[in-house]
Amino acid sequence: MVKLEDVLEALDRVVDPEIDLPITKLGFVENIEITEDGSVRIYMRLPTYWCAPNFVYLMMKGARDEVSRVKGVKSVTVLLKDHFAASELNEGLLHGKSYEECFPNDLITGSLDELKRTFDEKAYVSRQTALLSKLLASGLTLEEVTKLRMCDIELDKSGTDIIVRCGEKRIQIAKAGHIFRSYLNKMQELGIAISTQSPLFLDSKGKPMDLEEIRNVIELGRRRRLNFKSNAILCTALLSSRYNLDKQKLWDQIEV
Amino acid sequence: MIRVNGQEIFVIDDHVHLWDGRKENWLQPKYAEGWLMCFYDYHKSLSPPEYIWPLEKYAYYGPDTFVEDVFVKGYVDMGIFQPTYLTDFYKNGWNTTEQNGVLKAKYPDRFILNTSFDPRDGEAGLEIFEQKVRKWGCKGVKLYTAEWRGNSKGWKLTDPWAYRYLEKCVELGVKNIFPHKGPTIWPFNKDAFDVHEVDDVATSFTELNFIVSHAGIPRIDDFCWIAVQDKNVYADLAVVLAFIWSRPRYTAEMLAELLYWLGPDRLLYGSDYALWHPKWIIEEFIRFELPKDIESEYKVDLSLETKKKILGLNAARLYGIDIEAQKKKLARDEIATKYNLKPAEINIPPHLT
Repeated sequence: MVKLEDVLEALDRVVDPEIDLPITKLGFVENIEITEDGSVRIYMRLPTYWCAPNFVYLMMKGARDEVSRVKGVKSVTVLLKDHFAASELNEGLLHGKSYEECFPNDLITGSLDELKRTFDEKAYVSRQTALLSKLLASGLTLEEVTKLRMCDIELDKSGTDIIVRCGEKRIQIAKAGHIFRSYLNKMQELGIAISTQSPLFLDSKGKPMDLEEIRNVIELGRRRRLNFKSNAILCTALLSSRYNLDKQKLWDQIEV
Repeated sequence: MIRVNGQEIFVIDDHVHLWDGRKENWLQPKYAEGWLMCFYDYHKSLSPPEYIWPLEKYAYYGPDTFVEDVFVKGYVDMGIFQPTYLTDFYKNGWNTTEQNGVLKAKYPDRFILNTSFDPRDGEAGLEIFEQKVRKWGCKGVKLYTAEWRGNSKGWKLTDPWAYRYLEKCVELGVKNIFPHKGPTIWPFNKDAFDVHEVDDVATSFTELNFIVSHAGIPRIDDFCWIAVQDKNVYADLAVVLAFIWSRPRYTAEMLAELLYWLGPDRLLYGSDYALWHPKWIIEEFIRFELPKDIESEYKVDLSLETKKKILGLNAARLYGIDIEAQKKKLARDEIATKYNLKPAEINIPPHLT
């Protein structure tokens, strides 16, 4: 029997590319139906009637793919409502169509993979900067941070904090566990190969970053994070208004 | 007009509308309704509760309500109409140059009327565009690149025909270009909100000014980068300032980032009325303070002088408004007389000046 918590955990891995937060936390998953024969239906809703269909497709396909891998799942249907392209997307996803195939009569230029990559890289810089901020706030210098390797950081037993080894120092940073994990996840998604000896800070192509590059990324990251936060606040506010949700509760949930 | 600790501040709202969202005006009901309801959610989600309208009023509020909300209660001296056509969705358009023109004709000194062009209108459109510009004396255009037109779901500033129209703008003295990246250019794979094309045209047309609607949200990160490269790029602060009541700290972060990249001379206050109302935005803004940690991180400040620029001086410079001369005209105009308008006295703590 398919477990609801497993389905939710799978959906937690699907982000809105313009926000870099899980669709579950954003309130985009309205309902989940699981039947005994292992079929799962996921009902989605969005902030506006006009949300860009390329990003919507990425979220719906992501949801379908992640949930398909859950133990016991035989089939997954993702259904969107209240959107100008809902029927094309619902029908397209059902038949395993590509984004272009969902809209056969329309001009599609560019590649969805390229679009996804652009936003994956934005998310990567954003998550990298979040980790950098935590490390610098703990008292480490920029020089020390530049020299850190993967083996110098580990999660504490609870997974909530991280422990950083720097020379003789051993620093525990509270509540940085999920930041570290999400940074590693994005590295993996971008196909950046790492070993325990790899520098902690690599650019999106996998090259080690020197001090100047890290300094630049801090400034870039601040803009990226502000952008994601901006979209997060606006989109959840619109969603709350549209579907009569508790806006403040949603804001607290996504920690903005 | 407001008088803050004795200092007069002339207010130009760079982003106002007089729309008609009524059912009678719906051409394609699904899309017309979708558009109206989306706008309504924007209004409801960020306005203080006492400013939220019922849907019926929101669909059509009319010129009298506009005048009262914007000029009488809203502290605004002049409004810049930014048209949005959407003639695929609405029989007479959502708020066209002609619709807005009615108010402009009635109160000429109160309004700057921007018009619009659509490069998909081709050669014939150039002629019509020139006529509109000459009729209304337009100095600015709002460009809604995501507007649907038959099978086309949008266009780009870098399209060859867009260049032809921008060249026409240079020829006609239409110096202020207001690009608006809307909800979607469907269904291209590319990012419909991508603002990089603004960089291309701003570089090609250095004699034009590009005031980007709502600072490029949802791509404010890329917008800031472009605005640093191109000194003829400006930020319209509609939507940005709409968070000021519900999310002041986040608003501070946005303003600090924009001040950091663009400085105080390239930001323009706008309400996007009637999505949000000038009154509450201006009241919050004039008293607004950047938290100390944000101030020291970004090394920017939001002094009264900077607020004065944002509220009116920057727009006045772009549109060639002589503020002292305009004040005299407005002190005697029909609205000032009918409502016995006086500058609103607002006192703020000395450390904010």
